[in-house]
Amino acid sequence: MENYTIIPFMTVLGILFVAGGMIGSWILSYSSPDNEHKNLVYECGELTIGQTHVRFKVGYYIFALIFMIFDVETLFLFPCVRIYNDVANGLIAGLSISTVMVELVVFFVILAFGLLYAWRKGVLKWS
Amino acid sequence: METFFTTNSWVILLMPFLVFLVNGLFLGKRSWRAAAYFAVACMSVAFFFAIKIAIGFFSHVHEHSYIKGWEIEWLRFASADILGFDLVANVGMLLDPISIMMLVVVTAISVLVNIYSIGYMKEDPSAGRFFSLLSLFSFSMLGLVSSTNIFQMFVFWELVGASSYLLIGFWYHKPSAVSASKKAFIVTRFADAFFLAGIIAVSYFTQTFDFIELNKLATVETLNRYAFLGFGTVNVLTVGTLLIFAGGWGKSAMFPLHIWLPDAMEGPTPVSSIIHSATMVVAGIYLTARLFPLFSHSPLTMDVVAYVGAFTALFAAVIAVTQNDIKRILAFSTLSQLGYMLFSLGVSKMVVEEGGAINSLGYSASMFHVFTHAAFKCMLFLIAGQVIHVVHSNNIWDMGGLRKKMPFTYVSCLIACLAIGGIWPFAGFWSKDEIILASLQGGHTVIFAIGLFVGGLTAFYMFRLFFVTFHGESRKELHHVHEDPFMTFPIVVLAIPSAVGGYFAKDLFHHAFVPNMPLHIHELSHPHWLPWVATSMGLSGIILAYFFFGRNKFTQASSIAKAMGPLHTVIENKFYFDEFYLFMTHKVAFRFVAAPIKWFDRKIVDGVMNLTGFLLHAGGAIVRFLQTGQVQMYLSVMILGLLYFCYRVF
Amino acid sequence: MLTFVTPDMLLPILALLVLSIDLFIESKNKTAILFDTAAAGVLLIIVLLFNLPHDQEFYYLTNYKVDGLRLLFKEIFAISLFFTILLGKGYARKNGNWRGILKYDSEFIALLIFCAFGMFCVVSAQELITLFIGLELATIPMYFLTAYYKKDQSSLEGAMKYIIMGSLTSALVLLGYSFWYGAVGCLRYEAILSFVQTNPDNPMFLAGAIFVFAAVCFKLAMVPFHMWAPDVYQAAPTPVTAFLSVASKSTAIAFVITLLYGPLAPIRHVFTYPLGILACITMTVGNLGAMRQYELRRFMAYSSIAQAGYIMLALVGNGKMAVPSIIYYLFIYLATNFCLFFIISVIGQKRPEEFASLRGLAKQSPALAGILVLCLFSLAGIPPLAGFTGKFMLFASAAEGGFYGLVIFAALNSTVSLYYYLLLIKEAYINKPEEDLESLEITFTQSFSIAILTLAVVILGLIPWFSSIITKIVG
Repeated sequence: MENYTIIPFMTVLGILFVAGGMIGSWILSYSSPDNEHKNLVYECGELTIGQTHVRFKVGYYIFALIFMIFDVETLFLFPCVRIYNDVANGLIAGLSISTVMVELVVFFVILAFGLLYAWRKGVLKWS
Repeated sequence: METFFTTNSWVILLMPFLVFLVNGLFLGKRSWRAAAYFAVACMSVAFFFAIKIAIGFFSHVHEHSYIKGWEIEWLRFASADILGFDLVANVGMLLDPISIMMLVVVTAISVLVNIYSIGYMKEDPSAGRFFSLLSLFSFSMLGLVSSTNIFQMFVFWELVGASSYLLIGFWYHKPSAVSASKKAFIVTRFADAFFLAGIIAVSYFTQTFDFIELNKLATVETLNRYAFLGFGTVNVLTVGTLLIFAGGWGKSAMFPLHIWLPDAMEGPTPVSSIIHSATMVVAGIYLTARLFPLFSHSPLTMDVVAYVGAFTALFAAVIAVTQNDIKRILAFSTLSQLGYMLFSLGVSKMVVEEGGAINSLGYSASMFHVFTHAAFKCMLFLIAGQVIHVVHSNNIWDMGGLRKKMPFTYVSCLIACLAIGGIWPFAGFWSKDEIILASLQGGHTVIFAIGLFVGGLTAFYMFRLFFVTFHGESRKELHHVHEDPFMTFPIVVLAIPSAVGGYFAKDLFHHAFVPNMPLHIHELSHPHWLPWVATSMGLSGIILAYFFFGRNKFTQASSIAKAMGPLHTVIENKFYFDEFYLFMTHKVAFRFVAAPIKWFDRKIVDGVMNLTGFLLHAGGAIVRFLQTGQVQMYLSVMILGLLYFCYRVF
Repeated sequence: MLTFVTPDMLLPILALLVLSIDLFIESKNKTAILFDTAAAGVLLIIVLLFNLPHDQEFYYLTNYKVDGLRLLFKEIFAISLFFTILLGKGYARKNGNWRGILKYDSEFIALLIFCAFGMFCVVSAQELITLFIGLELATIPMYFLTAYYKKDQSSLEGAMKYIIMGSLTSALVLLGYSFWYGAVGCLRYEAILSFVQTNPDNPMFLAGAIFVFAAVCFKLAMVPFHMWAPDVYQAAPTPVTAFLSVASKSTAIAFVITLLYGPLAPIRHVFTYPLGILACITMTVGNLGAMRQYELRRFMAYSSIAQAGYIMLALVGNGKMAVPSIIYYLFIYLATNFCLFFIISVIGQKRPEEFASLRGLAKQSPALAGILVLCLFSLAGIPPLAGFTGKFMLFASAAEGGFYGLVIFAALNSTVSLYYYLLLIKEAYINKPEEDLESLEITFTQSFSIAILTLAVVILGLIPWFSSIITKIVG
C-alpha cells in the first residue's frame, strides 16, 4: 500500500501548485483598466489580418489525415524493426520471419489501398 | 421383418401432409379438380405402402411381434444428468397388428372418400379447401394410429379433434354447422383434459411414454400402489387408466358424452363417412386396445369399459329406431356399434371360472368389428350422401321408391344393411357373433343379453331405413335422378369387404390380433346354437321391419308409435339429453358459477390489473421523462452506474 | 491450420474488394452489384465458419484463439452482417425508404464489414491490445454509419451523442486496461488469469475491472448506461439499427463471456450478481420505456434494452447452462429481430417508420402481418415459438444458480413486454388506416430474407437438438 500513499500526496501537491500560482498572481498583480493593447488577440507577436475565426477548407484536413497514414506506418514499422533480429535468430517462439513479412505486407497493402481510394475519389486534387 | 416399406413407413404420413400443404397453399385456390386428383394420387401411394406393410407383416406373423418403423427423439422433458431420470417423448411409427390394420383401413377409406368427394363436392365453391382439410384429417389419424408413445398419440389426438372441428364446420355459413362443430370440439376437448391428466399421472410414475414399456407387467407393478393424486389417495393404476380411458370415452362418443356425434352430421357427408363412422370415432376403442394389457389389470376400469359400451349400444339403438333423419339414424347406429366394440374389449376379462383371466377372443373380436364396421358403415354413409344428393333432403320420409332409379345404390345398401344386421355370411355376422360369444364365454350374462337384443334392434332400424328409402312409391317429385360415377364407384368397391370381408379375414384376426400378455389358455365353450340365435334375431328384426315399413302402409307403425305415446316422444327426442346439458350449462353453470366468478373478475381481478397497468404506464412516463436528450444528463447517469459498481465490488 | 482464421482474413479482403469495385467499375446498377457481391462474400464466410471443426482449439500467433465458442459467436456476427447487407440493399434503391436513398453504398458495406471484423477480433483476442483494437474497430464505424443520413439534423445529433458517449467508454476501457496492466504487468490473458488466481482481491485490478464492465454495460445498453440507445437507434438508418441491436450487442456479450469465462474466471462471482441486478433493472426500464413509444426504431431500442436484460440475467446462474443458453438465445434473437426489421423496412418504403404506418397491414398483406405476429410473440416468449425456448433456457440458467427471485421478476417483466408487443399487433390488425394506403412493394431480397428468418423463428424453437448441439460445443 505504500505505493499508493504517493497518490494523495501528489493530488494535494497538484492542487496546491495550481492554487498557489493563482493566488500568488492575484496577490502580486495590479489591475489596470482595459486598453487597446490588452484586448488584442495576442499580447505579443504578430497582429492578425482579418478574422481569426476562419473555416479551413475541408481538403486541408483530408490532406492531414492522409499524411497521418505515413505517420502511422512509421510508428508500426518501428516495433517490427526492433524485434526483427530476434525473430530472425529464433529467439521469439511462435514467430517466423515469413509471418512478420506477411504481416507487414498486409499492413502496407491496406494503407496503400487507403491512399489509392483517396486518390480515385479525387481527394488529392486541390481545387 | 424390416423391409423397404417398414423403414420408409414415414411416406404414409408424408403423403397426406403433402396434400394438405400443396392443396391448402397452392392447388386448392386454383383448381379444386387438380387438388382432388392430387389427393387421390397421393393417398393411393400411402395406401399402397400400407398394403405392402400389411402383406409383409401378416405373411409371417409371430406372436406379439411389432416393428418400430422409425423413431427419433423429439422432446426431452427430463434428462438423467439433471433430474436423475429420463423422460423423453419420441416421434415414430409403431407397426403392430392393430396399427397396421388401422393404417390399411384409414388409407383405403381416405382414397375412396376422396374419390367420392369429387362427385359430391363438385358444386361447392370451396371444394379446394375441403380436399386440403380432408388430407389434414387423414394425416392426423394416421399419425394417431401409428404413434409409438402416448404423448405423440395425444398430439395427433388433438390434431384429429381440430381437423374434425374444421370439417364439421366446413359450411361455416350455416349456424347449425358452426354450433355443431363447436359442440363436438368442446365435448371431446372436455374428455381430452382427463386424458392429459391421465398421461401426466401415468408418466410421472412410470417415467415413460412408450406404449411397449407401458404395456409391460413391470409397469403395472409400478403403478399398482396408492398415492396422493390431487384430490385424495387413490390407486394410481385404476385412476390413471380411467383418466386415459376418459379421452377415448369422449372421442368415441360413449354415453353420456355421445351428444356431439349426431350433431356432427351437419358436416358434408363424406366427412361423416370417414370421420364420424369409420375412423376417428374408433380412436377411443383403439386407445383402449393399444393400452389393453395395462387396462386389463384394473378390474374397475375393465368393468367401466364393458358397461359403458353395452349401455351405449342399447341406448343408441333404441334412439335410432325413432329417428327420421337418415344421417342421424346412421349416427346413432354408429354409436351403437362403437358400444359393441368397446364392451367386447371389456368382457375379455372373465368373471366366471378363473375370475379375471383374459380371453383373447374379446380383444380380437373388437378389432375385427372395427375392421368390418369401417367398411359397411363408411359405405352406408356414402349411400346416404348419394341419396341426399338426389333427394335434397335428409328426411327418410321424403325419399322412397328409389329402388328403380338407383339400382347400384340399392343393391349396395342391401348388402350393407345385411352386413350390419349380422346376417350370415356377410361381414358383420362374423365379427358381431364373436363379440357376443366373447361376452358369453366371459360370463357377462347381462351384456350377452344386451348384445343379442341390440343385434335384432339393429337389423330392425336398418331395414326400416332401407324399406322407407328404397321401397314403396316416391313421395317427392324428383328430377335428374342419376348415379354419379365418382360417387358410385367407392360404394361398389366397399360392397366387397362388406359382403365377404368377414369370412376371409376371420382367421387372420383370430391368430394375429392377440394382446401381448398372459392369456387364458384353456379351450372355452363354443355353443353351436349361438350363431343360429344371433342370425335369427337379425332375421326377426328384418321381418318385423318389413311388416311395419316394407309394404308401403305405415298404419301399424304409426299406431304403435301412438300407443307408446310419451315414451316414443322421449326416445325420439333422444331422452332430452341435449336439453339437459343446455339446462345444466346455461341455467345452472352460468347462473351459479359463472356469475359470481364474473363479479370477482370484474371487480377484484380487473381492479388489480387496472392498477398494475396504471403503475406500469406511470413508469413508462417516468422513463420517457428521464430521456431528455441531453448528453450531460446521460453521462451523469452513467457515473451513477460506475458508483453502483464500486459499491458492489468493494 | 490457417483454415481456422480464413474467414477472419477474408472479411477485410471482402471489404477492400467492395471498395475496389466501387473505384474501378462503372455500371448503371452498381448498387446491386456491390450489395450482391458483399452478400455472396459474407455467405461464403458463413459457410466456411460452419464447416470448421467446432471441437478443436487453435491459436494463431499465440494471441488469436479459435474454438467452438468463438466460432459460434462469429457465426452470429457473420449472419447478422449478411442480413444487414440484404436489409441495406432495400434502402439503397430509389423509393426504398421514406427517409431517402442511402448513398455511398460501397463505403456503407465496407464499414459494416470492418465492423464485423472488429467483432471477430473481440471474441478471438487473447490479449488486451488486440481486444481493444477489435472493440474500437467494431465501434468507430458505427459512429459514421449512425450519421449516414448526412442531411438529417436529428441523425447527426444522435451520431454526435453516440461519439461523445462512445469516446468516454473507450476512455473508460483504456483506463481499466491501464489499471490491469499496472497490477499484472502483462497484457496477455494467461498472465492475467494467473495473477487473478493468486490475488483475487487486488484493489487496483478490481478498480480496472469496474471500468471495463462499465464500458461493457454501455455497449450492451444496460441501465444506467442505456441512455444513448433510443436516440442512436432512432437516428441511424434502419439497417444500422438492426446491426447495432443484434451484432453490436452480441459483441458486448462476447466480450463479457470471454472475460468472465477466461482471465477473470476466478473472480467471476464478484461481478455476476451485480450484473444480474442491473439486468433486472434493465429489463424493467426497457419494458417501461417501450410502452409509450410511437416510433418503430425507438421502440425496438427499448425492446432490445429489455432483451439485453434477459440475456444478462443468465450470467447470474454461474453454471453450466449460462453460456449455451445465451448463445442459443442470441441466435433466436438474431432471427426474430432481423425479421422484424425487414418487415419495418417493407412498411417504411412509403411511410415513416412509425406505429401508425402499420395500420391496415393485415388487410394489405396478411402474410406479412402474420409474420409480424409470429416475431412479436417470439420476442415476448410465447410457446411454441423459438423465443419461448430461448427465454426458458435463460431463466433456467439463472434458476440453476438459485436466484429464483430474479427469475420470477424476469418472468413478470416478460408478461409486461407482451403488452407493448400486442400494441403493434393491434395497430396491424384492429386500427383502421386514416387514408387509402399505397400498395406495399416487396423486393425479392426482402421476401427471401423474411421467408428464411420466419422459418428460423418457427423451427429453432421446435428442434431441440439445436440447443443440445450448442451445449455440446460450449459446455
